[in-house]
Amino acid sequence: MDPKMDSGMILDSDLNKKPFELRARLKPEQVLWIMDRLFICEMTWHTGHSLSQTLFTCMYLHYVPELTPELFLNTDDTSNDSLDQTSNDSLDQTSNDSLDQNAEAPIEFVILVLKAYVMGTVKCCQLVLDEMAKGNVYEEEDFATNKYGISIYEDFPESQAIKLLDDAETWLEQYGGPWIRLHGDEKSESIIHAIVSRLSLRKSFLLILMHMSQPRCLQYTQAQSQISIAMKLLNGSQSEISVNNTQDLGVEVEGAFDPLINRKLISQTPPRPIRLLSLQESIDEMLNMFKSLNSICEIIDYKSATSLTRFLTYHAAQQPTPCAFSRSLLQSTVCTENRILGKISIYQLVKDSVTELTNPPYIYFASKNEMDVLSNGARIDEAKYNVSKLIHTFVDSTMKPLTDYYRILCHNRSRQRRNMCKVLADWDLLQEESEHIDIELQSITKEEPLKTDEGQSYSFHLSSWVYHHKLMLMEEILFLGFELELYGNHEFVMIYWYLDYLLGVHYQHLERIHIHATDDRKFKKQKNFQSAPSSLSTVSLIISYQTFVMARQDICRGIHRIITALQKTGHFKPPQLEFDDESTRFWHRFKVYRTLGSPTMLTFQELKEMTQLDNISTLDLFNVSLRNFQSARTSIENLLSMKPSDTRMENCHAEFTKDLRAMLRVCIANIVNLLKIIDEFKSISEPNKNQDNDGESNKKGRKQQKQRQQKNRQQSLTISAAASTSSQSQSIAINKVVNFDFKYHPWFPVVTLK
Amino acid sequence: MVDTPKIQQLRSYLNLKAKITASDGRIFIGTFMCIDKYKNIILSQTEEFRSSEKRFVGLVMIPGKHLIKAEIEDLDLSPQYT
Repeated sequence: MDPKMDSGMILDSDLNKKPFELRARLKPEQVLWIMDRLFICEMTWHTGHSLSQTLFTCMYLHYVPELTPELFLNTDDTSNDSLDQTSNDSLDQTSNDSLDQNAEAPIEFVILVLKAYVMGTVKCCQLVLDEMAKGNVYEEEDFATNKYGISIYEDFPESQAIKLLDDAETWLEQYGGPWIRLHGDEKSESIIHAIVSRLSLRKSFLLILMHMSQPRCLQYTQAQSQISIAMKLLNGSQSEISVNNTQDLGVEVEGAFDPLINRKLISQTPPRPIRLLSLQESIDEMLNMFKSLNSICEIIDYKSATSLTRFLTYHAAQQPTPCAFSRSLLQSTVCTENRILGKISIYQLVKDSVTELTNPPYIYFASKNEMDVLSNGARIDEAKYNVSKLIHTFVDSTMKPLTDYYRILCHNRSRQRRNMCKVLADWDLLQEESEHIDIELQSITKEEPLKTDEGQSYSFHLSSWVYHHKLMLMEEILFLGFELELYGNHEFVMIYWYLDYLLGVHYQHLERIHIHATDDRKFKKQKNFQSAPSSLSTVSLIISYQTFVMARQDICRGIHRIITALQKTGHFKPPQLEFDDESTRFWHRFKVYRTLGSPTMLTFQELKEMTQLDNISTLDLFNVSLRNFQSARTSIENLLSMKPSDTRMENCHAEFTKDLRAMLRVCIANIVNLLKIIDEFKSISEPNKNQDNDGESNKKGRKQQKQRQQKNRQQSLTISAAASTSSQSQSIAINKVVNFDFKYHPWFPVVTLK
Repeated sequence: MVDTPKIQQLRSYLNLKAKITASDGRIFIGTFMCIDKYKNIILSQTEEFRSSEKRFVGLVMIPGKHLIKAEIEDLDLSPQYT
């Protein structure tokens, strides 16, 4: 019989297992151990394991209501006088069983301290489950919600659990603490601290969850203050009373946890192998959760729609991925019942978002009241009415794609990419629809086109905004492929080349928006409107976007050029795959883009033509690539010097800066490597020069010597061929391989020759 | 396909209540769904009994090599099942 396949089998370990004793009088160290183990189980559950293998393995969890003084009334031990004491609610331990080192610990350690802690944990679990029941994250993918029909005391109110925890703390202070001091050794102070810190942490965590589960984000400020308390309790400095300072003090209680309890529960799937976290890992996990929760509390302070979107993008990119619970909560916070952050309507969000980017005429989003004011009490004419009707149609159709996009950013990384591919078509459709609305709006507002070199150009405020978002999605989908390791090294040229194109299109699009946003004639019209939004913020936002897109484009361009160049030198060889056809792969990679109305899909032929570059020498290619990285570096440095309010990064400026710095590092590392490669390349193609540079540096000298040796060997082997420089340069390739290292940024590698 | 009288007999047991005793003393009672050459048996709606302990296990496969005894209800003798 196979224990993996047969949960009813009796195992040897079952027979030797120590039975669980509910009535055991636990020592404080033992209670501490159970608390820690329960905490570990809880955090392991949060990392995605099932309840049956984590929290439900705690036997005490199944008997919480039975932990009462009555439980200990019938115990046969009469040696101790605590029987009388239990019947009185107040305990006075100090007098009687004083000097006896082996005196039995007061039952309050179990019926009060442990009970409060377990109940607190159960209630936390309950609140988390309530949040997860909303279905914001994929069940069984990130998180297991199956309760296996086991009651987790749903009727027990949270406030009662808080009261229990309070009582436990008070008792510990008045009686438990002194008892430990009296009976314990030198560790007793730490044990008291350990228990107190865990009780307070549990209380804080429960309070955080209670506050955050309130509708419309009303109590996030209270939650935030609890989070800072909890973080201190969890990870305090040396002198403070905290969980991380009081590890390894517990004493194991055999039988208190039964890891095989899942055998008794009905499950559709066999249990997965599980490794419980260590206490330190659990602490880190919880700290991460608190950080996420804290940032969720902070975004309530709404600054701008762009800022909110950017926050979500960076939150989604966090490593390690934020836990499933915080991602679910973020979704509920961002959008519940068509309310953004519990207070802003979708209309307002779309209005802000569009205004921040394209700065449409004021009349577009002016509300009825505002229009009344504008027209000085005159009747709202039909044109204005029609504009507002069209805008409402636009907002209605935008609602779903936009909130979907926000939701997607709250999923796990792989899911994000998959779902982005799915919704791309929605954005394409929306773009088409909004173009029609734009045209109608043009005729209503009698917009006059801008005269440009390429003819007349209308503003298309709404569809421009949609197109911008669509392009962001398209870029993100390709970039995420690098992070999720979907591409082989030999596909990098293709992907970065396509990204180069997309980013180029995006840049031009932003340029177009820029021209229309700063269209002077509009301001003349707007002059008489008071409180018209200033276009200055729009301009600075567009400029920051443009610089950002340009930086990315330069990096992508630099990377695909350097790879192409190395392909020419023979350092980088695409694998010869029997069943691989590059054009088919190309077709598959960009399949989702095929159905889109814009931008134009590039073809495989174009890729071949654009990346062949036979007419450019390898050295030139290296130099061009070098210049790309240098200009990317300048762009990034410019971005870094911008103010958070200019880039609309108020909510996530730290993450934005971190991202930029990572990109900057990629640039610098690539510049350094390129200079090395160019140097080497020059020395190879001009062997005579190379002899003069011998004394440059030891390391380099050695390298060159080695190269020369190899060259000599090659030359002696194929004397006739060695005469031409090209074969010489290729001869070096044999002992060096291209290496792509995503050590600084998950999307951009550092290219090295090793 | 071979169709011997034995196979016909086994087929007539399909969808009837079966009681299987396994080598470790457990008894499974469920609806007889399937059997193969190696006496592997599939029961649905199964309940597992170990002395007085009872639990529901649903659809299970009992490996033939752990089979001690297999009983099928006799519709003529057990009118309570009809």
